[in-house]
Amino acid sequence: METANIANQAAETVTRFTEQTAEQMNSMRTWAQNLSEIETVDIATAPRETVWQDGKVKLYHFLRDTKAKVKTPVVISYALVNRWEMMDLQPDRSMIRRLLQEGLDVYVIDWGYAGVAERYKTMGDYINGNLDDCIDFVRDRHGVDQVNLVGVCQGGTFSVIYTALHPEKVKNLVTLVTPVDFSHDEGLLFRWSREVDVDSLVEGFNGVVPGEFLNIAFDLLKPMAKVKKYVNLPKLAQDKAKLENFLRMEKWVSDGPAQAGEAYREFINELYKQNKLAKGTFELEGEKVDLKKIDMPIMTIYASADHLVPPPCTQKLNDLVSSTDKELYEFPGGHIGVFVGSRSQKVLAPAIAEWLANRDK
Amino acid sequence: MATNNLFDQWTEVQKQMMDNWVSMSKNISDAFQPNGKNGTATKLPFTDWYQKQQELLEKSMNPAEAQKVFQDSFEGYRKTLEDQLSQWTKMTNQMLSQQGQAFMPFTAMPRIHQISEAYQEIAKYWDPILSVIRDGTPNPAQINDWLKPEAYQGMLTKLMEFNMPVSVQEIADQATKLFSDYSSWVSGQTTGFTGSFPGGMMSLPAWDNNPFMKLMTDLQHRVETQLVPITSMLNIGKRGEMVQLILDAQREYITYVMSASAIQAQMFQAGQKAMPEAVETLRKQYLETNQVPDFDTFFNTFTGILEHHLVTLFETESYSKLQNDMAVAGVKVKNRLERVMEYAFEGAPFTLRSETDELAKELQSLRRKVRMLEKKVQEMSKAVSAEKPQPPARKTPASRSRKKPAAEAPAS
Repeated sequence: METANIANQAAETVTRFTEQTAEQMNSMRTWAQNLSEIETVDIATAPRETVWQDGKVKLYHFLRDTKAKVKTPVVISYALVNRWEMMDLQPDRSMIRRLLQEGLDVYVIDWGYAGVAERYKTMGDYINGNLDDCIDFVRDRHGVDQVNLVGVCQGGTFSVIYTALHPEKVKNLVTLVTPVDFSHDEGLLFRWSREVDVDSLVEGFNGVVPGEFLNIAFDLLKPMAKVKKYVNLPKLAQDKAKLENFLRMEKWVSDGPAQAGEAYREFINELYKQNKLAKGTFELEGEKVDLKKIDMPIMTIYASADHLVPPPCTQKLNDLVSSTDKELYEFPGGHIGVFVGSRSQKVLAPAIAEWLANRDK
Repeated sequence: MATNNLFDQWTEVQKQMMDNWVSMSKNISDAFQPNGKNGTATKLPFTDWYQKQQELLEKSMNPAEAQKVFQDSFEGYRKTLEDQLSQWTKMTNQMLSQQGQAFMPFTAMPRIHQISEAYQEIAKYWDPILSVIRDGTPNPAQINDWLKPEAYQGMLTKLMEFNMPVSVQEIADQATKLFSDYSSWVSGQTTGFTGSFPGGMMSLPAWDNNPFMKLMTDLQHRVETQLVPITSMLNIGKRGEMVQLILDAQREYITYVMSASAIQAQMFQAGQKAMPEAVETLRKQYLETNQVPDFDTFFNTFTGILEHHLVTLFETESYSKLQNDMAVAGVKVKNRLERVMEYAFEGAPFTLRSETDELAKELQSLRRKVRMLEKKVQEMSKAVSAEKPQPPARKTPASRSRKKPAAEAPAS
């Protein structure tokens, strides 16, 4: 090889190495400084009060400065897996704050952290017990016969079941990324669940399925997502605000509650494996859940790139209910983007509020 | 570019680099210190390299020796890069340990460390990979020759956060300890087995299925031939059940290890295709655009392709079954050993898990009965109210809520 060529390559290599090293060193310093300046990582900071409690389950009412424009209060039922705080991750990424701004009166159910005391708690206890109690409390408190029920993911499935059993208490039903038809193959969770021996798992875990166990499954759905996330961390950490956002999300992700074994067993066996809800054969505490009894206005929101609850699992709901006023709303993004994406703030939350306001007669 | 100018430039670049390094490392060290106290800058491997480069440059004043000088300096560069990556890993981990622990979730810390190491592991191979992308090669699989199977396995292990060796050892230790303690009581014939088991387990490479399978088959055989006849002679009772639980745990443990091992082997097999495909993809892009990709582009392309292959594997029915077998067997081992512990602590002056389970069952049953009764009371109240004359105006519906109202009505 010519000396000049070798020299050119050497110069190029060394220059690249130098630039990268200098960049890395600068990046490291900024990262360390930004990290050392963060005192706390707060999530769910929207002002609220606990208005009802039964055991570990709480009902929060979010405080408003002004009178609500929509008179029917909203009760949000989040999933048992993961925590409701995703709905209020940070002030500028908070669906709850946005709904408040749009004039709604908002309540959120906090299912708490299931432990040994909850291992025999069933879906019936959650739906006919806690959810019904919360809705009755809000109806009493506001002097109304019906509430607007907003169900999220698994909490949406609970809301659908509840509404089918107690349609007289629900004025409008909104579901976000809610699995109803479990027969599809698009999502890995749906495939895996068919093979899973949930009875052995629940017994093996002594009736309380740890959140960490579920998180492993969620991580495997996109096996390199975490790798990419952490590899990009030094770059992202150059911006203190972005670093704080990252830490908030990490805090939420790592806070996966354990599952009450009996409810988990029912959910997997009856819904994931046998698809009883969509088939119309599901029974809760001996009472058949007939989705045709859902006849009030319904807004079904799905995320086009949802890898946890693929669109077909959600969309089917509108075909199964007897409501004539029903809207299928496509959110362009993924499962989590529904709550924290900028489009969620700018478009989705106002759309939900407007849809409810138009049906608040 | 003229050779003399290059020397000047190179010297200047190295000087800048050295200055940057020392200055930044001092700043970083300062940033690590609590309350802004200054610390001593870390001694970095670049210092040595820089000095050696200076010596080389002095010799290189003779143009005839230029080629040798550059070749030597490349070796120095490679060595330095490797040292730098190692140093970088240490610094990253140090920073995360000192500054990040307060905020990063506990579970994220080891993952960050593992992924950081994997990233840097791949970076070591970046130069030869880049050469293939830029200069081409008749066989992109040549990458696999550079990146030896052991190294590739190590990298995938870190990327996928496998922790088989630790788990295997932990489970082996626990199972063997209990097995040893209790089965010694049953028979003195098991010393050979319990003595060889942990050693054999730890000496095995995590990815190597064959000796693993051999050990497991052997284990199964020993359990069946040596212990089952003994346990079958025992009277049914606490000790007999304990031994049976331990034997069950051993059998589940075999299933667990075999499934886990098979899963990791499947993942490795699926992931092997990713590296050459990533190189080929970027080579095509380079030929089309003439743009040399940077390392991050390569890393993202590689992990994207790797993810695709892994998800394709995850979608298969055989993987789903294997995953279920592994998970179920794992929790069964845990459960059996915990039940043995329950027997061991029976009569101890504290509440056992099985006793709290009974309480939980009773509690939930009572709560359900209360809920049903409340519902009946509510329905009866409604019926009674309906029979009474209605008040002229009603501000709130009849009281329906149960449990604990905790606040007054809101303003809205």
